[in-house]
Amino acid sequence: MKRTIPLLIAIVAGFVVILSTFVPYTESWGEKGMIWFDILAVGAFVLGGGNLLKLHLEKISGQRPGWMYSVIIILSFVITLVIGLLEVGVHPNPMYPEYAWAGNYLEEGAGFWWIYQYVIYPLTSTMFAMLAFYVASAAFRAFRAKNFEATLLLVTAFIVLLGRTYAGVWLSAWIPPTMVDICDFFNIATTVEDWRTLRIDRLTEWLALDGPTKGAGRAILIGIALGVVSVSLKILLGVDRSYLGQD
Amino acid sequence: MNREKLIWTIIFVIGVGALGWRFFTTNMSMTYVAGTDYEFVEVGPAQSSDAPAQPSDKDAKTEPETRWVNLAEDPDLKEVQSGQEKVIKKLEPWTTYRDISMEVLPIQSAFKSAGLDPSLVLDPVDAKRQIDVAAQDGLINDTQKTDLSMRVGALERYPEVGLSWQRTLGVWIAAFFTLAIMSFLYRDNPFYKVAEAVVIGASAGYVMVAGFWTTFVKNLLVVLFPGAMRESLVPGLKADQAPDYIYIIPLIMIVLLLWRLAPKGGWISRWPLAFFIGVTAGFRLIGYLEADFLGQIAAGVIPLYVPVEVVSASGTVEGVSAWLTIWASFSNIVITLATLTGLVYFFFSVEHRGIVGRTAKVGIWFLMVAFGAMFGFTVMGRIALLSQRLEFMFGNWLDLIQRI
Repeated sequence: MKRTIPLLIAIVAGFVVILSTFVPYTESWGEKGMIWFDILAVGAFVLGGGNLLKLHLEKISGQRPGWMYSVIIILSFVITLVIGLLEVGVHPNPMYPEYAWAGNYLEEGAGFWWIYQYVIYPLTSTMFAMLAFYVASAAFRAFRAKNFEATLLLVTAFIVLLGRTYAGVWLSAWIPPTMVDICDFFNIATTVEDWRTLRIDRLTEWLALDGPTKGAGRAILIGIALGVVSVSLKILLGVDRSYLGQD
Repeated sequence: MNREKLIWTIIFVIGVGALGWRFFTTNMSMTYVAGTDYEFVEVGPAQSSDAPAQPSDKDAKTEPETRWVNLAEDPDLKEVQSGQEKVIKKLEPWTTYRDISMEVLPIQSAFKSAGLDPSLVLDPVDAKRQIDVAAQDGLINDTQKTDLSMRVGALERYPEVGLSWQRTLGVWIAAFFTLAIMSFLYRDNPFYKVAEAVVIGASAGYVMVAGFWTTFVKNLLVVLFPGAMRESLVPGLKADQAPDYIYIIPLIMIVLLLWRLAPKGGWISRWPLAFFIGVTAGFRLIGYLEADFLGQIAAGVIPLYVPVEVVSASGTVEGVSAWLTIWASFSNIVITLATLTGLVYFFFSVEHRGIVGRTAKVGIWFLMVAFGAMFGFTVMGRIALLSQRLEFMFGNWLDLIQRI
């Protein structure tokens, strides 16, 4: 019951999804599996919320260090939840005005929109923005041109950082856009030639999006794909049972 | 009070004083909104109430056809005035608001430069009258009069323009949280910890609410209880949609998953967890094989010689561009070499010695270039986010630069 049934559930669910890709009759099974997966994910969110409450209520009741912050966590969690689920400030959908609950929960001006706009978005985007400082300082301490490989990484990063700013454009703006004059000088049948590819901003695009990064990224992606496929097979064949726990 | 505390107190007092002065003398953090009114009435045929219903005839329509009309859009309602239709039900009116600060603020600045009261902008009709008075008094010239009238006239399309205190307060709260997070650059402090606690609680609440409305209601409740949903949350549902009771299974799985919080029998949550793992493994296996493995191999098969033709403005081919051909071919050769040597590096079943070792070494070089480029891009992405936050602080909050 504790190990065999979940093992069977995982194997059957996984193979049904794979089958749905190859057998047209079972195509809808795969779609249904994905929808059930999403529904279950919402259940997992509820589990997460329950865990959050349990953990922080324990912290508050024990008055452990930092329990005041747990109060703030619970308050902000409950306020967001109540405002969002009760659709505070949401008006009916003008297409169905008689149904008070048919409005969009993210309607501009409603409570939940306000929380996202003025609380969640500024907080999360500033947290990510702060990473700019930490990544830069970590790089300053860790990046040393100790050998050829490290130098390659350092030089590429420098070119890309330079090329994504106005400094990169300004520094290489002297490179002429065409080489018509030079072609004329060497008596080569000329057409309009584009030398701008050598400018730092263009070189940055080439380095980061097209040239070596594309090739190396491709090798990495193929490696990742093979890794994911082998891990998935191990789960579906019952070789990897770590998700079942110990007992 | 020690020296450090004194310095911080002075900075705090000066900062609060400067903010207060700016708030009361400029448009700092002010958010202006335009309202759209909704006043719905249900109207139906006037004679329908006189005609008796015929319960014996099941096929006949016993209820008269009714429709909802927004009086804000159609205030005259000619059909009702002429007696063809009558009002059956009236709903409480409501107003929705949208941010028009980007339109209002430049007009207010123009008013200020012309020596007029910027608050007049909120009432376009009165503002036009004041513009005329100012022109008659010679305070503004004809060009200014035309320009200001045209600008303020653009606001007349909104039935209601005003200052939103909720959104203005929101800008202050967003600015406080932004500063609280940024304060961590100095050191860990209570402001940062408060902001951190809020982001944890609010984000957890946000994903639950979004999951409830977008997935739980639309994918589960609608399928299991279409009738009840049609009458409450999703009125646009088809009338003939039948319930699909197989969807009770995911509902049961949710209950089993939540059993984990119970003191006993938590092991039962392994069943839905196993479903999660199985479906994920199945989808990932197919998805990665198709998109990443086969897709990348297919995309990697590229020509090593790429002639780039130069086409004139008239559309005729003038020839092959030597430089662009060299560049495009070089680019494709680099991509191919990087892919092949990178794959050799990741192939650990063979010892990296001899030709394999040297090839893997070249692969490392390409990987290093890629990591350097990825690092540069990541840093610049974060810098872009930071500049957005600074734009918000200096624009939307302090009103020192143009708002975003």
